[in-house]
Formats: sequence, C-alpha cells, structure tokens
Amino acid sequence: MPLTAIHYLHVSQPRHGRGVTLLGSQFTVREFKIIGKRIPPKDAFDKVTGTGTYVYDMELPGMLYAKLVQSTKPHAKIKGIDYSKALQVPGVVSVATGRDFPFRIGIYVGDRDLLAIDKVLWVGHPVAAVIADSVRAAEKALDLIYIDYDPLPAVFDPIESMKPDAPLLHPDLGRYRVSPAFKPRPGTNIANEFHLKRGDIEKGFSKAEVVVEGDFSLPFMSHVYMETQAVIAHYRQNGYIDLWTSAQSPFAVRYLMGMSLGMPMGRIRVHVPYIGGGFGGKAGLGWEPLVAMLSRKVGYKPVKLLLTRSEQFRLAPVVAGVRGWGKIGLDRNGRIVAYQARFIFDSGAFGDYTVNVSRTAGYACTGSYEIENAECESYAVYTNKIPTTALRGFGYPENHWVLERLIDKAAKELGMDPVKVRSLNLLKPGVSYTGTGARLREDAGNPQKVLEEVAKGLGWGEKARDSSKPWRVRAKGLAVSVKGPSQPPDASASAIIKFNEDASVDVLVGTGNFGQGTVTSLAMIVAEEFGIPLDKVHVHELRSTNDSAYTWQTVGSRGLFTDGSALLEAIRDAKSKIKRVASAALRVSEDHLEIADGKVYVKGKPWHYIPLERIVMGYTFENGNAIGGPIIGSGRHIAELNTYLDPDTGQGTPTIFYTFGGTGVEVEVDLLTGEVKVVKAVQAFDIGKAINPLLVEGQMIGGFVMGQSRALYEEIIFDEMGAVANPNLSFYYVARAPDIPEEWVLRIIETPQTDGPYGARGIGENVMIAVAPAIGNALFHGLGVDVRHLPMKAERVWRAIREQRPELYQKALSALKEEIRREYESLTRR
Amino acid sequence: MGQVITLKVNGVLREVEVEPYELLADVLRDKLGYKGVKKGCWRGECGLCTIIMNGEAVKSCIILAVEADGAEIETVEGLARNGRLSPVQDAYVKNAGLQCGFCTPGFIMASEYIVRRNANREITPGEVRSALSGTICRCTGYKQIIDSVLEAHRRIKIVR
Amino acid sequence: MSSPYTTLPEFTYYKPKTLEEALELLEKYGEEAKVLAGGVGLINFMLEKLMSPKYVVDIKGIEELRGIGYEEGKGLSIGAATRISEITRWLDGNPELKRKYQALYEALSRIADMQIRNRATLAGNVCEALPYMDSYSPLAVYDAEVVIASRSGERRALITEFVQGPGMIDLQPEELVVRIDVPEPPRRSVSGFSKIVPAIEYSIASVSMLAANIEDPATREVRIAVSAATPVPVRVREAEDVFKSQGDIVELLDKALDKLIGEIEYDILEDPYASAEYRKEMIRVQAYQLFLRLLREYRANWG
Repeated sequence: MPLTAIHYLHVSQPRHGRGVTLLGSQFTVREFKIIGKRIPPKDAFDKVTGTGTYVYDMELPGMLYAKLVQSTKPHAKIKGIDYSKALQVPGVVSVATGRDFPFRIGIYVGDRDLLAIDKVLWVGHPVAAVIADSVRAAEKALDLIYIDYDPLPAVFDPIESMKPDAPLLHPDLGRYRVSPAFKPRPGTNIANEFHLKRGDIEKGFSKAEVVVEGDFSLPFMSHVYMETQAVIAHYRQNGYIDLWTSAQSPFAVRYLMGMSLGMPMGRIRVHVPYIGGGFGGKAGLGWEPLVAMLSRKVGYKPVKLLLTRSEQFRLAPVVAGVRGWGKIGLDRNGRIVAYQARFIFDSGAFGDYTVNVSRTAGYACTGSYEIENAECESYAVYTNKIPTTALRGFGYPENHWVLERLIDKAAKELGMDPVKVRSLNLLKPGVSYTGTGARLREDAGNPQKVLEEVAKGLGWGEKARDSSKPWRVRAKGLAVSVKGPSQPPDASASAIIKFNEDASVDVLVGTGNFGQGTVTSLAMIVAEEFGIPLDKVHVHELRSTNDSAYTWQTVGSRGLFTDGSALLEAIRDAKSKIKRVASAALRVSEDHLEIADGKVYVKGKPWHYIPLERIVMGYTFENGNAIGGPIIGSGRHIAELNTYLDPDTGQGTPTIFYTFGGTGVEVEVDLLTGEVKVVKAVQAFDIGKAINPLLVEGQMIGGFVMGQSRALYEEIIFDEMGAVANPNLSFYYVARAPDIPEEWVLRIIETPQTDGPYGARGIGENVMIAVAPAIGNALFHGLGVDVRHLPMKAERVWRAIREQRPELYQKALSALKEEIRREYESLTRR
Repeated sequence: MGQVITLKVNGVLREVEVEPYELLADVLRDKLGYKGVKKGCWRGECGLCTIIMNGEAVKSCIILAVEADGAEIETVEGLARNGRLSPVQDAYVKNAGLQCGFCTPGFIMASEYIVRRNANREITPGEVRSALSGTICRCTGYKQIIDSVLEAHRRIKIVR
Repeated sequence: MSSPYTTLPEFTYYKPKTLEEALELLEKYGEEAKVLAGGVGLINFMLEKLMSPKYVVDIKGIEELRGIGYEEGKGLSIGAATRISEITRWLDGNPELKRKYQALYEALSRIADMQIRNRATLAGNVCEALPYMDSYSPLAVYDAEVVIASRSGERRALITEFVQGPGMIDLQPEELVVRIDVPEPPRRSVSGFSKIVPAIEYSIASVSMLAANIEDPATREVRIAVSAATPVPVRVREAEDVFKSQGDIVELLDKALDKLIGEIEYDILEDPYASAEYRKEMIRVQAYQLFLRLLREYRANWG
C-alpha cells in the first residue's frame, strides 16, 4: 500500500502543438528517450553506501585543526587578549587574533572581519583561533584564552538600530568596499536601502474600494543543512592556496578570496566534493580566507575548521529576521490598484549577503501580480546579533508572507473569493509589466494555469472534511508565488564536455552538487543529445576551480537554466566537430549528418554510419591515415538583456526567468491547544519542462516541508545579551518525519521558455515560498483567525483563537465537556 | 590510560586502543575509517551517527567507545555486498530517498533496523514515520524516504 | 546547551560486575564519581562541561540491575539498567500488563526517539531531573517508588519526593538507584498519558491520569499527575478527592482541576518556549481530553 494518495499530473503546454519542444532557438519535433523520464539521482549509489566524501570526512597528511574562541559580549572593545596559557597546552601550535588579519571581506558589502578586529559585535563573534594538532588540544586551549573587554552599548532591535542615536556597529561603513547595486548609509546602522516606485501610489489608493494593511514578521532562522560548515585550507610555500570547502559556489569563493587577499585568482584552487546541503547558507564566501590565513600562519600546513552544530548557530551566518508591513488597495472589481510595503531585515552584525536579500524582497515585492501603483522600501539593518546570509527563496518568502496574506484579507473585506482576486491580478506573459517595470516575456509561463491547478488540487470551494473530533477543525488555504534568480546582470556560466575512448563523456561544469539533482539532469541532457546510455555520461562530484568549467554561483535556482544552456552549446560545439570529421570519413556534407544512438549517420540512410567510438578520438582510415582528434565541446551562457535597477525607483530587468508556482494546504487545527497539523499539500509549478520529474517532485516535497517547518516551528531565540539561546536541534525544532502531510498533490506544468534548456526554468527555491502564506491563509479563511507573525506555533495560534474567536474556543471546550458528560452517562446507564 | 577494545564491525573483528573519553562515533570514523558514520549535531539529536549495535539501532555519538567493548556493530558500509545494494539501499535509490546524501547513512541504518524488526509483520506508514523521528533530513521532506522504507519492507516480506 | 566542545573531559571508566563493587566505587569516590547507564544524559552533560566526573561507573554490566519483574498485587519492578525499549517490548508481550500500566507504556513509547529508547534507561530518565522528563507523570500517577541502595542498605522514595527540582534529586553521592517499583494499580482502572510538544523536542506540559470504578462515586478513584509544566512532578490529593463526591462528572472534573491548578499555579514554568498561562491551560485541556479517552477505554474494558 503506498504511503499516501498521490495525484500526479503533467500538464504539457507546448506553444506550437503536440510534441513540439524547444531546443536552443530551434523548434524541433522530437521524441525524447531520456529527457522527461523518472531517473534516480546519479550519485545515489555513493550516498546510500556511505562512500561519498564530504569535506567533513577529509583528512590531509600533517593536517592541523582550528577552533574559534567566541565573544561573550554583544558589543565591546577588545582591550587585550592573553593566550599565553593556551600556547602551553601540548599540541597547540598557534593562536591567531583579529590583529593578524586587519582587513574586511564580503560579497556585496565588505563589512566582515575574519576575526574580531579590536571590537566584538555579537555574543559568539570569533575573537581568536586556536590551531593545534588535534581537536581535543584545541578545545582545551579554548578555555585558557582570556579576553579583556570594554563594553559598549549594544542594540538588538532593528527599529531601535535605525534611530539616529543608536550605537554604531560599523563606524567605517563609508570606507567599506560596496558592489554597485547597494547603498549603505554611512554614519548609521543601515547596511542597505532599496526603493521601488511605480505609478502614483496616492492616486492608486484613491481608487480603492477597500484598503487593508498590517504588520508582519519572520524570525531569525537557521538553514540547518546537515553538514555543518567545513573548510580545509593549505596555503603552500609556492604561493598557491588549495581549499577544500563545503561551499555552493567554488568560483565565487575563488573570486572573493582573490579580491580580499589581493591574490592572483589562478593561484587559488577551490575544491568542492559532495556538499551536505546548502540552501543558500553556503553561497558566496565563508570561512575560506580565515582558514587559508591560519594555514600560512602555522607554517604552510593544512588546517581544518569544522563547526559543531552549536557553533553553527552562534557564530556562522543564519537567516535574517524581518519586520514587514504592507498596505493593499482593491477597487470594487477586485483589481489591485495600489500596493505599498516595507521590509526591515535584521541583518545582525554583518550585512554582507543580506543586503541583497533585502533588495530582492523590495524589487520583487509585487509578487505574481500586475500592480500599476506600487511603492516598496527595504532596509538591511545592523544589530548586535549573529550575522545573516542568503536562504532558499532569497527575499521572496519574506515579501510573499506579507503580500499573499494581505490579498486574502482584502478579498474578504471585499466579499470576493481570494482565488478570483488572484486570477484577476496575475501577471499576463507578454502583456503585463512587473513591479520593476519590465514587460514580462511572452514565454514566461502560465500563472493562471498554476492557480487553477492549485485550486483544483485542493478542492477549493468544496468544504474541508470534517474532523473526527469536534474541537478540531479542518481548513484550506492557498497562495501563489514567483521566483527568479537574484544575480548580477552579467552572471555567466560555462560547460565543457570531452569524449573518452569508449565514446563515454566527461562533463565538466561548475555548478554545485548539494542534492538538487541538477547534475543528474545535465547528464541526462548529454545522454539524450548523443543517444548514448546515461551510464556513459560522467559528472565527477568534485568541483575544482582549476579544472571545472566556470559558473558564477550555484544559487537562485539558476543551475539548470544557466549551466544547462551552456552545456547545450557545448554539445552543439562537439557535434559540429564530430560532423566535420565524419563528413570527411563518410564523404557527405556536414549538413547531411545526424548524431543519435551513439552514431553519426547520413540523414535518410541510417545504415550508413560511424559509431562515435571510432570518431571521438579521431578517425582512422583503412590505410592508417587519421583525421580529427579528441573531441572537446565548450559552451557559454550569460544573462542577456538584464539591467541594473534604477537607484531611485528600482526599475529595470533584474532576472533571466520567473518561475510561477502555487501552494495549497489543508490543515487540521486543535482549537484547544492551537496545534496545527498539515494534512494535505498541493504544489503546482510551471517549470517549462521537467527534465527529470522524479527529482522535480523531490524539490516540490522537500521545499514544502522546509516551508512548513519555517511556517510552524522554526525560530532562533535570543537572550537579553542578544545571544542565541537555542543553539541545538532539540530547542530549535525542524520538521521531522511524523510532521509531514499524508496527502500530496504534485502538479508540474510545462510552458516552455524559449531560451531555457528544453524550455526549462528553475524550481529549487520557489517550492517553499508560498507555504507559510498558504497555511496562514488556511487559518484565516477556515477559522477567521489572523496570525501575522511566524512561526505559527501552537501557543501563538491558541492565543490568536482566544483573542480573535473566543466563541470558537468556548464552543470547542463545551463540546469536549459535553462529550465527557455523554460518555459518562452511557457508562452509568448500564 | 588507553584500553584495547574489541569490536566486530560489519563482520570483521577489530581491535583498537581507545581512551575512556573517546566517543564510539569518533572511534568508528577516525580510528577505524567508517566515514559513513556522520555527525550533524554532536549530541544525540540528528541521528546521522546511527549504527546497529548488538541488533539495536543506536546513536553512536553519545556512546563511549569503551562501552562498546565486545559489541557487534553494523555501519552503512557493511550493507552492500560485492556492489549489490541491500533492499533498503536499493529502495532509497529508486525512490530518490536522498538529496545531499549527508543524512543518508543514518537514515539507511535506521531504516534497515525498522525493516528487520518488522520483517514478520505488517507495518503502517504511521509506524515508519514515528520510527524515523530521531533522524533529521533537511532536503527531501521525508516522503520519498518513508516510501523507500515501505517498499524495502514489502520486498523483504515477499522474499521471506 | 551551547557547548563548542566535541570531546569529553578525562576520567577513569569502571564497569563493575556486581552491585557490591559498584557501591564500593561510589562510596570511595563520592562526588567525583558519576553513574553511567544509557549515557544519554551524562554524556551530553559532560560534552557541555556541565559535569566533569573523575570516575564514571557503568552499571550495565551488573546482572541484577537488568530486567523487569512483576508480581500480582505488588506490581512492576524495573531494574536500573533496563533500557526503555526493553520495557515497552516486554509490555507489548504482556498485553494484560500493558493495559494496567497504559500511562507508563504511552509515555515510554514517546520518549525521545527510537534510537534513544534503545539506549536510554528508565532510571536514567528519572535521575536526569529536568522538568520535562517523560517518565515523571506516569510514575507519579502509579505512586512509583525509586529504590536506592548504598553500602549501608536500601531505602525507597516516592517519585514525587525523589525529584526535588531542576537538576536536583534525593540521591547521595554514595547511593545508586537500583530499580523503580511501580505498584499494582487499583482494580478496574484505566490510565493514560498526554503531552504537548510545541516546536521543541520536549514537552511543555504533561498529564497522566488514572481512573478506577468511575461509575461509582463511593469507590471511584481518579488520579492526576502533572509534569513538564512544573519544576517537579506533582499530585494534588485534595484535587483527586473531589471525585469521591456525587455530582455531575464534568463539574467534578472542573472543580478538581481548579483545585489542582490553584495549588500549583505559582510553580508553573515560564520560558521562551511556552508561557505559564499557556502551560496552565494545557494542563486543563489535556486533562479533559485524556479523561474522555479514559472513559471510553473504561467502558470498553469494564463497562
């Protein structure tokens, strides 16, 4: 018996009739042998046998181990550090402090130090590093390092922190290196601000029949990728640095290291084996520069830094808490006439990556809708708490939590069905303009179909099933979502394929492999295009900047789109090289040749062919003459027609695709305890083409549960010193197997995008964006209870029911008591 | 004050000198090379260090190595024979019950134990869900994992 | 709870084969020694450096501390080195006893997770003395006794007296918990356990109830034990006595719960995971829900 009732449906939406698929810019009618099949991940064997190597597992000869000393003060000057006793612990080689590395690093705002430079900014801030020949020795030394602090006033609340008299975390903000798209405000704690202005907001609201507004919030959360951050660095005497790191983007690590250390990029070699999860938390640059500098400090020996879970919670970047506010106006027909929103991202002590998350929340604030009059502002603000970074969704879960909830509230005010209101306002590809004023490409997908499928899958309009107990109620809710990669306008990717003697193919790509399945899909593309079995396509799990093809980063759901496009170009390149050789061998022009089933053959005469094995290393004629040579194909991709956004209005074209999606839930709420159980999940996404539906479903399910976890359970709790009070997995709860829905409806919609590989768009992030709003809307729609702060944990829901629907609570309690009475009476009657 | 303990790991007798303060997971990983035993929390929460010790699935990160003296231990490395996956491993592959793979060894061992303990009876999805509550996966959302366990259990029952 | 450490402090490890030996070690080393059973608590405390014993005495090698006994009329006796999963499996194999000790069975089946239950012991759970230990409310509801041995003899302590506060138990350094005795529940009784685990791994309010002869006020007995919401497990006899009176059953229940909560009101915990107000109400709500379940089970078994 299967675990759950699952309804799979693939809704194919070819734009040019049945069976038409897009390849590059050409339309070709073709049947696929591999693309679109449910194929297990290529690296599954390594993973189920426990033989895949992660940086966590790696040991190098002569390797030393680093541990970090954490600040015990939220904001203080460092008067002195005495580590003389630590140096006497047997096995301890060296102790480093911030003064050893007096420079700052970062991807967007260079505000990070390697170790605290003269000043600590949060409880947990690494102040010193101990390097020893064993972890045990390093841990002993931790307790023998004495730091003399001169406390400074601290600020923990982002709103307080924006006030002019707030203690400044970064007085030198004006001197930090900043990427062009960002605007820190020197002399304040504002690491970035962003403004979107479109139309006339006042005029818009004046046309509104109903106006609804509200405050919303999301707490700090942790990525909880299962492999904690791990880096091994070997600074070599010859000036090269080898790094093995659990990082999403080896090339970004290399580039940012080179920039920060002033080193030639080619001398930095970044190696990434299997990665135990990332979710954005391992994007950009992490501990690599610190560990590299430690390696140099200890005499050019390899050094490993591995964080424990508790360190991961207290000193490595987490996810920013957000205070949001939104105001929406609907005219009498249900058209959105104006939308205004504000997001304050509490970025903690460093703003580095969060500045871009907050900017994205701002520019994408209008979600899936066409809104003529919009004004959104977003801020990333420093506080004396743990620093923050990117998370799967990157600003979209935050802005959707506001917008998708307000839509339901406004619809209710207007007395309209929220699905109807959404349908009226959804962006129309080819016609509508997005919040950034860019006209949506005509092949961007089918948002209406997505909404329809969610509503249908959920049985929207049908009453929720009755619960078995009168004090529990079932409720339904839904939300739609959109997501595009948030990358610089010139982000690029490349791919190389090279043939081996047996006509198998090695694929060299830079995209990270942390479970998304991109690598399997890329291998499927190669197998499909050459007509060779999938097991003849090899993608090594190790990425090395010196011998993998370049890609900017593995973030923003871009991997398949960008690296897949580059790969298709590499395939075309290899094919044309193969044909050139085969043309001579078969004595026909290249145009008359076709490559399929592992052969080059003459079109129309498939019996006239040369197997690829005889051509990919060069073709040898019968007399020994040879032509050609080993075949290597290369391809590139760069974002086209993307622009910087206008610094004052945020107008422009920020992204290469938008994936439209939606989520529906049915929840069961215990009115007396406030516990919310998700019983059914509906996920629908227009991803253009599902290269591998099995792995797409993996993303839809995994993303839903991560979204559910964020919606209902996850919250970093801070104590009065701003220190993380729950740095473990008992008190920071993430969803576990018993928590997941029993019923799933997974819908894949395929409206191809002309410039995506086979029409595909990215899926990795959107899958979690609408989950919290859908659950929130279910409580609102089904119970009439409005919960606007995440997580919607039991006590919060319980309180909301008691405050907003006291009669519901009383009724449930009376029903329970009545049942007790009835049960007792039937007992005594006998 | 080192002490030599004897462990039978995946059918092979191993002698290893350990200190009382050493944890079983560390000894298996660092001294005996069973790198499939992972740690994700260091305190018995995440279940990635799950092994089967004397027939019971346990979390090896909160067991002293000296406590295991004389024990029979199975780790994920011991399940596949000559490149042939166990029914549990095979079901995980087919159902894509894994993504980043870091938690997979822990889940495979917990699942192997669930399937074996229930080899002679029916098992409900609800029972599988609760039995997996001590092992954390952040990627898959568990559904394909639960499906894998149920499928492996069905196949083992048929074989018997 | 926030340790950066991955290694344990140094100590000497003993694994005595007899109780005598173990008690000798405890007497000799006193406060410098700690007892290791399942290790779930101790090893975590040592990793956090909350405890750094010089000597660790592993009691799993002591045959007489292992296993479960039952004597009609006297009740269950559970050895200190018996693992939680051994207890639940043993009860699974004795359906009659499982029904008698239903609250205990339910609580033990839901302690932590499968792997932990395969290692942790009931005695260890009892000695860990954190408010949310799952065994507390069921043991309290059966008036369970902790049996403590030392070189000078054996003594017993009611669970509600043994647990004295967070991290505090009635146990001297030279003493060892050797078993937990769970008395025979009243005839014609049913029992059950309930807890609320909101977005953390631990309960914020647990309730165990036992009810016997429900239909007859003269002989009726209802017991209510609360833990996790309070620093220590509690029973309030005056509250339970309410059920001896005649009257509408719901009114009796309301009155009993008012008395119970009135008595413990100022002890109810408040922390970032649950407010005292919520905990208080969750005691009440769970008591109603549990009582309804017990009524149904009672009718099925004794009605």
